Amino acid sequence: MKPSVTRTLITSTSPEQVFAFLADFRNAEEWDPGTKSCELVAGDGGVGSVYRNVSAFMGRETEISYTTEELELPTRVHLVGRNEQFEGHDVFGVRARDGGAEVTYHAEFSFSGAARYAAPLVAAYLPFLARSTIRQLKISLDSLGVGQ
Amino acid sequence: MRAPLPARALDVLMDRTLAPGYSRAGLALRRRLPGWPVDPLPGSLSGRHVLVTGASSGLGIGCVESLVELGATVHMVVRDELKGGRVLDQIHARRPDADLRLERCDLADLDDIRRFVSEMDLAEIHALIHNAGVMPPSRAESPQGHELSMAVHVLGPVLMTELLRERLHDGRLVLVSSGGMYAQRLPADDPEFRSGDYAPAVAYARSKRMQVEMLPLLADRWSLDAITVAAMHPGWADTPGVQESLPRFRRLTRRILRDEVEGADTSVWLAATEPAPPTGRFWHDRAVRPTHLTPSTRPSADEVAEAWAWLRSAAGVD
Repeated sequence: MKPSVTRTLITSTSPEQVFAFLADFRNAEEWDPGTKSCELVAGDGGVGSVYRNVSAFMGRETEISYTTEELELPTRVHLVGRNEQFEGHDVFGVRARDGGAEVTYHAEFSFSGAARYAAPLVAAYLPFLARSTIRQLKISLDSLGVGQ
Repeated sequence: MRAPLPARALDVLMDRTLAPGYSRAGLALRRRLPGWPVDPLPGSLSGRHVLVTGASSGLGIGCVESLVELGATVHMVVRDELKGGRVLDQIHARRPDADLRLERCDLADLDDIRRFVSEMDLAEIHALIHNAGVMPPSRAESPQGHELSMAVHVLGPVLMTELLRERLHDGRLVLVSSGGMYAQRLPADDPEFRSGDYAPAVAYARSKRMQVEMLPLLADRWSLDAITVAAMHPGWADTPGVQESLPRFRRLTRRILRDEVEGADTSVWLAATEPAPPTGRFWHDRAVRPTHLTPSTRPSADEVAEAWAWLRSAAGVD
């Protein structure tokens, strides 16, 4: 079982600005309510770059190593996070719309080892997580376009 | 216009139970339900150029005829010019005012698509309807070595659209898909059907699933040119594909199958309706439909990424 969630938001910020912001995963500190810190530890921000992400997930602090899997300017950003018992995907689709953008966020999780028993719990928790993430993401993206 | 709840409920019920919705009766009933989107006005496409691939048979003919009725200049893109010419003459005989052009292109052949686009001297295209379809009885390959149904339904349309994207600015793109895709998963690890026993209807449905799964990514990509991208399924229509490849299905269902014009209804509506419908959606009978009827066909993020990488490399689109 792979719990997943897909949500769409609309922003007045251009696809290029949205892409630049999301492609640099250090910005998760800003748009992801769960992320405590996120630093680039290898690479130049392109495909294959590695980030060390420390986040609070369901009340626990965990360190997850994220790798940039796909970057397609300005429409697609795909990162994969892994640790011993967890694999998570963050996929963004960016679509031009009336000068701004329609952004689709897809989050997908899978668990191995003892953590796999947490999967149903995570599946139940995901809609709430997605709601707060999308709200924060929209605020972050909208503020990028201000003054443009 | 949003339909009242009972009409919407009936529409969804017919859709999920397949036969009532996919038959000609389904379309006939839906047309009468409140909330059915209005028909585009005759002449609403006058002065506009529309390309229809696979225009010389089945749904292609129905599509051309309906577009002619809306006043469009229709470019019939066909593989066989002789057959295409005959069909063009027949349509002309019925509609002497039709503005029809015959164009030759083999959607299976990526080189022929490049040739076709480089020779095409049209500056603005309003709509491109990818209707060409095949169901090879045994596994076959395109000139570039790709499995034929995947080549004709996915690779060719993607390359042709990519090469025409600037001329399609602000226009419409329609992929004619199939309800058969509901039964298949995205074949991310074997898009070319190299392993397992080949079955014509399975290869066909897998290529149609590929269209539908790649649809949101293609819509993102071509949103930069303000192109409205849509996939649709025609329901159960009496086409040469069904006649040749699914004779038993046709014997059972012949009386309820849609004709060519009915099967093309949503394609034509998507190409003509104003304002432009939302992009990246899957349609049937002028309404957005789900792309999965069961969670078991949903692809993972990795599978989508794998299929997308294959598509871009196989179609030669970077």
